[in-house]
Amino acid sequence: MNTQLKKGALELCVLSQLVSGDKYGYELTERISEEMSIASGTLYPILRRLKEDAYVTTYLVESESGPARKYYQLTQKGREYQQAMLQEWEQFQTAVNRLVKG
Amino acid sequence: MTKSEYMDALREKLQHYNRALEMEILEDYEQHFAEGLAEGRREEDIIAELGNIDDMLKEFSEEDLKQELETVESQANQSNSYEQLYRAVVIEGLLADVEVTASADDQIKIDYDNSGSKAQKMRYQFYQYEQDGVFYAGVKERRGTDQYGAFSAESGRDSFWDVFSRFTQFATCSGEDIHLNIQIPAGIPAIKIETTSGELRIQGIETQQLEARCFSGDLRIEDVACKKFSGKTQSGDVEVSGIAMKREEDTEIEIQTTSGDLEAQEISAASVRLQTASGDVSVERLRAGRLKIQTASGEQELEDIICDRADLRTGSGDIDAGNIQGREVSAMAGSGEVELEADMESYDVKTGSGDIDLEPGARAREIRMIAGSGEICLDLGRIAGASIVSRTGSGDMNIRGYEVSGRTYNTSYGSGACRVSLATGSGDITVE
Repeated sequence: MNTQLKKGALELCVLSQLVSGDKYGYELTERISEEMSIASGTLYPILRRLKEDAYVTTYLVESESGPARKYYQLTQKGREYQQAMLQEWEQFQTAVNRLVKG
Repeated sequence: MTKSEYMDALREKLQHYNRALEMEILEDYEQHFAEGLAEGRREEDIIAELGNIDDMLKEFSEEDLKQELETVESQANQSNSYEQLYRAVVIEGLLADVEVTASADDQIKIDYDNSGSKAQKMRYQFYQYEQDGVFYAGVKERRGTDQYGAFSAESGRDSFWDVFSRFTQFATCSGEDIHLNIQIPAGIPAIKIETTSGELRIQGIETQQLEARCFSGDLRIEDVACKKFSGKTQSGDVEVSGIAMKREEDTEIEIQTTSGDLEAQEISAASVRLQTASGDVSVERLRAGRLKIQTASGEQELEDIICDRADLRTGSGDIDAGNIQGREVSAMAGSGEVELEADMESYDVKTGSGDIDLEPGARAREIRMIAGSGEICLDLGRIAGASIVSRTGSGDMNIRGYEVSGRTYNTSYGSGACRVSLATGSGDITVE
């Protein structure tokens, strides 16, 4: 797949997973790699970038499984971005669907 | 592959990135493993799921890399202070010019300044760490970068560098613009400082043991107080002025260069050893119990020396020594000449094809001069009485104005107290 397209789609997936509630890294990457065949490691740079761009913030919660869990939370800016991207995605998807069906 | 192998590989590749990014990704992966293992999954399954490290690194965008560059830029200039009692300080400057001076207080202070090209900033970074009471600092090459600052072929395909190279231009790294200024407080027992092409200057330091190493860089030592000093360069010159040894018996100065010249003045120690291959040695105002100078083709020039025993050795270089005072001097040269003006009790001079010219002082008790094909010239002007045994294979002899016709000649004058023994193969012998 085109890497730009894939990158955008992955960003949208990650942000959308956070709309319903905060998630920690493992939870989030597991959820996405369940549906898509991608290396879950590649999601961590995306998460880091989303944080750098202030679409998400992180906080730590002590965990019984070992090191503290880093939770990701959508910011207001992130919510708006997710909405805008989702719209774009839906328009794009509709267009593609119409075109591929001839 | 085990988790620890995978994490090692990850750590290695992340070295190219800034520390914040490196730490964050490592933590994310550690967390990922911890969660997976807690669910009872196997390490290799988690590794398979996390996937190829290079693919992950490709996810870093140009933005990340720009930030990386900014970080590199900001790290190119830094000042740090460290306050603690260390048992040793080890500095590795690589190509940086390193200047070491005394600290006014009890802190180690380091200024790192890398104002070279972007490629150079990418390629070299400052490091500092402590281990077992030893303070380590210096300049290190980011692993996997080549001389243009780019990562070499085997380290990751088009992950970091290909993206990075789109928005920056490269120049070769000369290292001319990397400087490391270090202030070290008195009282740290051992200090070791190394550079490769960088120059090293050490000034005003007080310690027990000081070790300075350069490769092609020059080494300059000024006003240092210590118990043991060792200086070494390959092609770099060495200039030493002022090493005052603490008053103990086993003090030692040892300086070695290969092709670099060695210039030393105002130094004193129980034992001083200077060694070069092709480099010249020039020593002034030196005080030593035992002095040993060795050169292959390098010349030796000595002036104003006080020492108990001096051993001077050279292959093809000349030895020229003036005003040496002490007990014993031994000078040996292959094809080099020896010219000695000294006030010692005992003289032992041997050459192959080189000439010998000796002017002993009044205290001389024993003089031995042997040359292969070289000439021997001895000035006994300051000696009240001597007994002379002189022998030549095929040369002429003139002993105190007397042309000797035979091959051997024995004579004495005054008290005859100073024993003089002279021998050459084919050279002439002149005694005045």
